Amino acid sequence: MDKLLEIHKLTSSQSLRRSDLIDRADAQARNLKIDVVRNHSFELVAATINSFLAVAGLKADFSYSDYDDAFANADFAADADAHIIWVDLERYDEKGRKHIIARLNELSQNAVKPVIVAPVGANFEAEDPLVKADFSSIMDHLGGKFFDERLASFTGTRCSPAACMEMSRLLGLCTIPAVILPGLKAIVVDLDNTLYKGVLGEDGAAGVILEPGHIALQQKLTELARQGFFVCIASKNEAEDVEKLFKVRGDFPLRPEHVTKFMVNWESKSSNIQSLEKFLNIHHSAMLFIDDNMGELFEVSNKLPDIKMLWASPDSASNARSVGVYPGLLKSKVSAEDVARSKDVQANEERRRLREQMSPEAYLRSLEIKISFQLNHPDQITRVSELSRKTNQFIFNYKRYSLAEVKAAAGNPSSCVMTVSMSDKLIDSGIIGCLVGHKHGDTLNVEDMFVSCRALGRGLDEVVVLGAIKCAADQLKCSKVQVAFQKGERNGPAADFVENNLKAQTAAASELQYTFPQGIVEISMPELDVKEQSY
Amino acid sequence: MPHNVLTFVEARAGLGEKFKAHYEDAEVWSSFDRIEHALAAEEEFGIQFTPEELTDLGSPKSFVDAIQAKLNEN
Repeated sequence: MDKLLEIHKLTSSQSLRRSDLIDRADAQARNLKIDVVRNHSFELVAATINSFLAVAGLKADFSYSDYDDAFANADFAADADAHIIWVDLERYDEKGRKHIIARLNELSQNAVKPVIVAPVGANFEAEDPLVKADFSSIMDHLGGKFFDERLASFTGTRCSPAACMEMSRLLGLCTIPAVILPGLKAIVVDLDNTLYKGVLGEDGAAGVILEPGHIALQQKLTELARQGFFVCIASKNEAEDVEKLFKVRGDFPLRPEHVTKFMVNWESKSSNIQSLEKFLNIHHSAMLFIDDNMGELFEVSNKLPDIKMLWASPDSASNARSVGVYPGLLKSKVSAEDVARSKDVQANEERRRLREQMSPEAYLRSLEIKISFQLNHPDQITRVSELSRKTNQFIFNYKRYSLAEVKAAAGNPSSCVMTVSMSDKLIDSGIIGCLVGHKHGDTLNVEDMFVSCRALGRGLDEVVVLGAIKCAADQLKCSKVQVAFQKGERNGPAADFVENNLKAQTAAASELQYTFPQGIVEISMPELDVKEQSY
Repeated sequence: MPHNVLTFVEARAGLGEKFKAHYEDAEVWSSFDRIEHALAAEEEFGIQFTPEELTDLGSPKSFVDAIQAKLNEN
């Protein structure tokens, strides 16, 4: 539990001391190589960053460019896990600033690994695929203390030690984990003494207290729900009391429509979270559990060792700050799929109900499912990259494509990026799967295939996966298919699928016999010449 | 000199048994080590060095003297 207190301190404390954080790293953490190109010094930031990276199970070694205002030697092809552009924009006049922003945006276009731009001194409009570390809230908080000209000649930067520590915190907790690790997918939060002060069963709906910190936490959860994170409640209370609570307390920023699933009962928290794993079709390692009760946190950590946990302290304002910077919750863009995600999972309950009442075929027909395969679509590149980085269960090889890699595959006539979109009468799920493949002779080599967990278990896995392979093979005029597959910690569903459907194609290049089911789902696919179309 | 200033500098130095031998060695730390030690001293003792004072910081002894001088000012 010391670790939970440490995480709470690192994510929320407003009185951290640099000297307590310097040169600390988690020996067990995954080591990253990060290349820093810069026009001012990064060392004061680097000195404390491993303390923060440790929360996400990471640590970093940095390599540095020379100080160069022209960024003439910026090389984003260098061997690194990520790149940071560390730039003080006050060193340029208006014209020079525009030029350098355009140049850095352009240079990052072809980067294979993620590029983070960390600007101070002026606004920097970052274009895809650049990821901006936004220090504006730190500047607002520190005001005149953000810069310290007294130390500039010694440290090589105008940024004060306090600013460097806060920028280190933001980069180490939020930005670097966001470009390296798959993001979290769900936040499971307690009610009593977490979302409000008090005990619902004792104080009643009208009696529980909403402090400014609780409001801030609820607002943050609402924002996360809008960004596509599943926000779920796990509370030991009477269900009708909680229902009444949300009806009576109109001052709660978090509304029932923001909550994907309520688990309000007297079961253990771990069993409720396990139920949520099934309902959301995600592993508990993609969940953050927030509770004020150390006993509950301990019980959950014993049963579900990979879950992320945050202790909700009696200082409610600190909890909102912790959630605001917790690793895995930073999303630079919100896609249409993100917006639909919670409703899509809630629709699975309706789908399950229909499935129990009908034969499998009648069930699929009743949903009026449409599946669309699209080839090398330029508007889908961002979603493909994002899906490859977020998918953990149904993924063949964990390739984790950058935008540049997706663009390169989509633009190469010997390769293809085949996306699969799905909608039914309940909801449009958007892009739920993707195949990236390359043609070698008359063989389609499936480099990776990944499918969102939301789309699994609807009885359509074969249509989605084998259909995508079939479409890709036809598009590239390949008669054989070879599938690369790598067993990982959590891609059991993909392993089972490959074992049952693609065993021959993992062993050697071979034909794939697959015919789309007729009259059950509506299929649309890229056009082929009529004489070459095989279905 | 209060014992805690010397103890602080010795702990920051990371020199172990060699601390005494390098007590007046101006080259014992890199420039970034020196600035980090200065920042740590500012945090620890609630003091603030001027640029001129920072320029003079080099050896462990210079740190002890400078911290002590700032504390005496207060």
